[in-house]
Amino acid sequence: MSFLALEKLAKVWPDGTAAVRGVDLSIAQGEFIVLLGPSGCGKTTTLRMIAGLETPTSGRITLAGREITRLPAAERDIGMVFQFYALYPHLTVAENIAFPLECAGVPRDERMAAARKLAEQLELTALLDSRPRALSGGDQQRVALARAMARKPAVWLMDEPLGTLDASRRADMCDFIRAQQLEHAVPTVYVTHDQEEAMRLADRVVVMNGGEVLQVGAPEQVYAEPASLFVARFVGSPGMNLIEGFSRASQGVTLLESAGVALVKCPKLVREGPVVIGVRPEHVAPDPAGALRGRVALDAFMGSHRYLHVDTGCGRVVALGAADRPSAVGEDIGLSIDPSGVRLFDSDAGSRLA
Amino acid sequence: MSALELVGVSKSFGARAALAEVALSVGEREFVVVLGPTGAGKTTLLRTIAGLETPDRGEVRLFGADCTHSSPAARDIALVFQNFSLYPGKTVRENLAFPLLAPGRELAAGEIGERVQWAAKLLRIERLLDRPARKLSGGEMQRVAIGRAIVRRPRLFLMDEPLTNLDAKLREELRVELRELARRLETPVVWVTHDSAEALSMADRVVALFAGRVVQVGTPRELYLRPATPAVARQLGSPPMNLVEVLRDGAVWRLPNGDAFGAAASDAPQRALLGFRPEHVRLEGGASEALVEVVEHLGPQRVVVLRWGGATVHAAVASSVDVAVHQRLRPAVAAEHCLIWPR
Repeated sequence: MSFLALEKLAKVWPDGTAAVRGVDLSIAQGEFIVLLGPSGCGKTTTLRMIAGLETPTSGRITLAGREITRLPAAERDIGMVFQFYALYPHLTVAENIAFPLECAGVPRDERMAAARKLAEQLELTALLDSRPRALSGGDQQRVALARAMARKPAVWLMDEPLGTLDASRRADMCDFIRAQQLEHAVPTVYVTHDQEEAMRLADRVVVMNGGEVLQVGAPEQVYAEPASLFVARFVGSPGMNLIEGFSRASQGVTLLESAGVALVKCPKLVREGPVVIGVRPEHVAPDPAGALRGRVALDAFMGSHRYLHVDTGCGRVVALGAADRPSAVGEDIGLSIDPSGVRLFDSDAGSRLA
Repeated sequence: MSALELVGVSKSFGARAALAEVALSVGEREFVVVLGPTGAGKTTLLRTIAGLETPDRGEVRLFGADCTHSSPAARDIALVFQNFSLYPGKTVRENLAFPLLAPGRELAAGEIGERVQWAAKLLRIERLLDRPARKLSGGEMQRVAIGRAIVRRPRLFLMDEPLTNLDAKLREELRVELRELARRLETPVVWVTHDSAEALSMADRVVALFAGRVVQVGTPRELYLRPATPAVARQLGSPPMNLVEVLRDGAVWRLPNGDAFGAAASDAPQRALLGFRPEHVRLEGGASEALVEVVEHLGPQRVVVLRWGGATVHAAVASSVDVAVHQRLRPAVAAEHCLIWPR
């Protein structure tokens, strides 16, 4: 059953710009939803309408069976976690974390115990008696996160809470947020432009662009079965390779060609004609006998693996390579495509064919 | 000859030492990434190279000449900041031409136009040339800011976290583009970041800077496989290297709760911090049990968060490996993949 529901939610700014164009979304009790998309896609405006910080132009929001579309923010029982933190300078770290519980009337011993527990999970224990000004920016942000998550409201709304943290800290904070959310089963809507964060955190990812929802699904589903070219490109780092080509029926299989090269035989049958051939880097392998030839433009080492950026007759193609097998820039190499990884898209509409 | 050489550079602000005895050399076509956490002294280092700070001690040499006390303009270096500094009311074309109009640079109008076109083409912003800077997206602004640095054809680029304020997708694209651009320009780059992916994928060499000191210099692969300190280990890799406190009990390492981790050499220290990469954690064949707390799907791989012997351990496995939350399994890490730091 849906706990939080958005129905045909829309927001048009006074200048006529449509920020959100009829978003339908249903969120179950305890579910972690991530709104993922580039700057200006409408994800933050959607979140702010749920919070009550923006009034929808049309549509409805219901929370736990009650319509809240025009309810003031303070009456919604929603916990908001922002990227930009503001701590109370005159309170200690412990008092800052416990503050929302104090407002909720939780007795002192209980709220201090809760603050200590949160601080321990975030490795902030040594700082509990410090004042915010004595803390580094990263520590302040972690205190703000602990404070925002001290109270367990009906819904958590998070707007890029990890935005300015160091990359190495971000992974830990992701784990903390996910662990808290799983422990307390607070339904959460989380906004980010970072597909890796979305993949790590979400039960379901909602990919948005141009004020619309393009696809909703589990992270592995959105990654493996993108519904459109936009999702194929946006999800995954690097995104899916997209090669302009042609499909031709040949002895019961589809032969995919591009720039005069027979790239791969594909068991999926689609109409003959122009297509966009989508394939993720992990389904493209360096192979001396590969039909697709090209020149290495960049060998990007990633630690546990590497990405070879190869300029071919069909454009730039990225292949996954082994960490211990470097390639020289300018080297001519062959590539082969694993047919099981091929996804086909309509070249005009950008929609998925097979 | 080195493009840049720092010899024993130290700089303090009041009682706080920002840089301590920093030595660094950058080859004529080299791409060097200075990697470190916030507050490590990375920006001070760049400002010292650019001439915006004067070191308390030590020497800054550019192409063989001592420049320690030269003015920023005399150094012929371009510095690109995290915050794209453009003239908002001017067009992209005017922004790109501006550095060429500075007094002392006597370039013909035709030459200025050519250089602006050249930079715009390299950065793929030709179609934006007549747009005012304030109407650009963040990614476009940073391209223009970089364009302003390259039109001058300086002999060294200094980049201070230029991708930090951009969306993740743009960051990923610009990592690739700017690395290729640097190669085409045949100009050395010192690139400062806290981002592991930038350091690993862009650098010819990485300089790890912590608390104002250079703690390691090497290729990305050297630092990834053999980090000199636990801090370097944590700064590289996503997810980063696992670091687990262990005690040696005869020929066995014991995890914080006493469970066996794996075999220890007889001459190993009594107490140690073990470092091992997530991709080197196997999910079976181990000496004790662990509980799967979280499974994250990161595209080609799956990251499994394990509670193992009182420690949290990340494992990275292929996405085809079946593993579920609350499952119990017996992880193992081969001894050759473990780094040992005595405690």
